Amino acid sequence: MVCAEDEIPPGTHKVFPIGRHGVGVYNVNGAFYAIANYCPHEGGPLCTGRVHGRSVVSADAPGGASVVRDGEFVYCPWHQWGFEIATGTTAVKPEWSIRTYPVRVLDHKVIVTA
Amino acid sequence: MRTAVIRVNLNPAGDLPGDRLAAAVEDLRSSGLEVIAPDFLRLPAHGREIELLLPGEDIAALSAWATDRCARALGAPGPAAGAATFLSRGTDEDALGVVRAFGLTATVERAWNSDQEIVTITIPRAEVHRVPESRLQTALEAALNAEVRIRYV
Repeated sequence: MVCAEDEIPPGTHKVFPIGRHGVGVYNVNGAFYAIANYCPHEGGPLCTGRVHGRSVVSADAPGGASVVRDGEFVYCPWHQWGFEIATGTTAVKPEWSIRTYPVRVLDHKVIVTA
Repeated sequence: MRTAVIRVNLNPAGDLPGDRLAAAVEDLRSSGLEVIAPDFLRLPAHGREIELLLPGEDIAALSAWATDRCARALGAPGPAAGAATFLSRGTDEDALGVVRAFGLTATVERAWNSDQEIVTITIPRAEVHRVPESRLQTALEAALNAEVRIRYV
């Protein structure tokens, strides 16, 4: 058990000392995910980065692009590489996979399984 | 076995309504598949992509199966496979998968020093000429969230 459910409201996260680099536990629209606090690019502290959506081509939007799936991606603060929080991966670099951990909520307690 | 993240654009033509795509996702989930799907109404019509988490390593076969399964759920042809990636749960298979993605082979050994896990990756020296060790090191540390030591033989 890492914390009580209400300690991580939707749209927020906390970093816990699990593994070599720590693990960020995120509440994405009510679903909990856990991802290692380490960027595969150059080893930046991934979970101190901003949480945002991702940009996609959208011919109808001003500038020809729009942001979708807001709150589902984390961006490393060092070089802005972005990763899907749910899977720890990015379609841009398929060889990169950040370790993710199963998370469940039981009796309002968040449990991360290493 | 590794878990692949297979991306499928349900309707590249953008001509199907969002509720029909949502019904297809429900069909996939009700058959036991693990699906990550966005709110279709908030996506551009041509970019309504979902992700299926499937066990296996054969990306081509998994992508073909996923597009076919999505077409059946949708009741219409047209779903197109996108980029495929792999989840990492920090297993030896995950470590070897990362190494393979760099075009290398390796063996994996694990040890504990106090409460810290140390993973030693042994790679044939003849294979590493075109792979920067720092890239491999950070990719493995991210996939394992453990101390990684790379050894050449």
